[in-house]
Amino acid sequence: MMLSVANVGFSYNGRKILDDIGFRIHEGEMLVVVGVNGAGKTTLLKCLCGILRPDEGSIFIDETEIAQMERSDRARRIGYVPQRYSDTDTSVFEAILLGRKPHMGWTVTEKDLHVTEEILRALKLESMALRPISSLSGGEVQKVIIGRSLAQEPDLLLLDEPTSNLDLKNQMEIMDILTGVARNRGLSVIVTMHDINTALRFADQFLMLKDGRVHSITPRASVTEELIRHVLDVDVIMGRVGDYRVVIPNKPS
Amino acid sequence: MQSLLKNSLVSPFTLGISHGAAFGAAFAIVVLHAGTPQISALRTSAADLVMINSIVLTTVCAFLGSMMTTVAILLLARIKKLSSQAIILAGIALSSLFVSGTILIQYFSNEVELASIVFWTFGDVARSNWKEIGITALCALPVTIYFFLKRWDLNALDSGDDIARSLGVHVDRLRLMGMILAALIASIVTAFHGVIAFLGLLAPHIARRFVASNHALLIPMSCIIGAILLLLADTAGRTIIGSGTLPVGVLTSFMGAPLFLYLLMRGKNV
Repeated sequence: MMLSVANVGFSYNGRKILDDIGFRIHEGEMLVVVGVNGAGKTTLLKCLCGILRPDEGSIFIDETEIAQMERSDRARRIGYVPQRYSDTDTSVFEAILLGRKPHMGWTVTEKDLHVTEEILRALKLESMALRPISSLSGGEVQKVIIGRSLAQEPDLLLLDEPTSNLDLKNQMEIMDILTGVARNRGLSVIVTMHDINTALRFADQFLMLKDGRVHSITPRASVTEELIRHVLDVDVIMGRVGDYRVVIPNKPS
Repeated sequence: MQSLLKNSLVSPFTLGISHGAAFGAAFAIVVLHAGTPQISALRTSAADLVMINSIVLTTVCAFLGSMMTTVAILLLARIKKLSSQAIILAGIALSSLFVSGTILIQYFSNEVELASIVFWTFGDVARSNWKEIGITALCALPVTIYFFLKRWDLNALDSGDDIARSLGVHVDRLRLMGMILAALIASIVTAFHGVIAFLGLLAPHIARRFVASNHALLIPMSCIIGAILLLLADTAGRTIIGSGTLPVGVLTSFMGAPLFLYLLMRGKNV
């Protein structure tokens, strides 16, 4: 699978949110989108999964433009985990089974149940399968929401700040799950994120957004203090701890 | 309707849809002469005071009245992006508007017509005959089947509009179709039986206690519980006083109003 985005622009109430966005992502890659609040990260993800329709440009999955795809076809190929979700009292099992909706006909099939059970096992959620979502911790809920999008069996997974409200342990667990599915299932994953250190540890590529435009697309190893300073408008010091590069804020520039 | 607008306080009564239908029906009965007041010496209930001699005209006017409210609510929810509480407040404002309209019609009606409208708006199943029950069932059955077929779409909508869209649900079409069909049923029921308050609020809430929010179970369970509640209220209305019948709408109000206040005070999932 390859996602190709070319010259995408989106305006809201006359204000340009995205302008001339273009990039590509290949099978099994993780792309982290970085930018300040209001840079257009969430809007970009919503355009990529078809929730918003760009005013200009094109988005292709392989040879197919997503704007031309049927809703259910698109949902079979692209999974989306939003920043916010509504609190419901459905069980964990039902919540993950809901991800099978794009594949369902009139009834739930054996395959739908099998895929749901497999995801419950993979995410270690079996013991809480019958518990209502409202009784889970923030990290557990995030796993369920990711599980639901995995049940879609997509080629491309989009996640909007999936670790922003989680403690460190849960952040690492969620990112391990995402790198695992990218590697083992061949999914392409696009994640928006504010935590540069987590991004530096897990991302294959960085997409730097500034004022709704692509500032740069760079491999993890090429991210520099200067680049972060320019995109995030904050002075940072970059160092190395063990095998990992870390970023420490210095002072606002 | 609660899932479509993601608001557990929503029902045809709390949104003002029933009042819109009542206004439309009263307009048809008095202004368009679709109803003929009947005074019978042998009457056993208030229902006998009213005979609707043009069921189609009354139902159409009730439907138009309910649709005016539905469209106003949908526009406010979509364009102004009203919060859950604000939608209910808008419903209260629209209810007041239609109640005032109904009062205006009453003001210009003669004494017999006035009595007819007052008794008619009580909400009473005693006036139903098999023909009306048949028409109601004929309309309610396909609508219930439609909602049952859309059960997974409604489950997705419970998780939020964005998640529903990402799962392939045509959210705007589902919400519009669902509200139109719900308003259609509310208007038919109101045209035949008057305003039966809070039943649409009570039934899904009690059903959720048994089957949570999975619409595959919630839809049939709400239908069964709604029917049982109506039967209980009607039976109580027939037996609670020595002679005559208490309108069922009064009894459902006694049950529903405390629940509404409880949900409002709890402030969770509203």
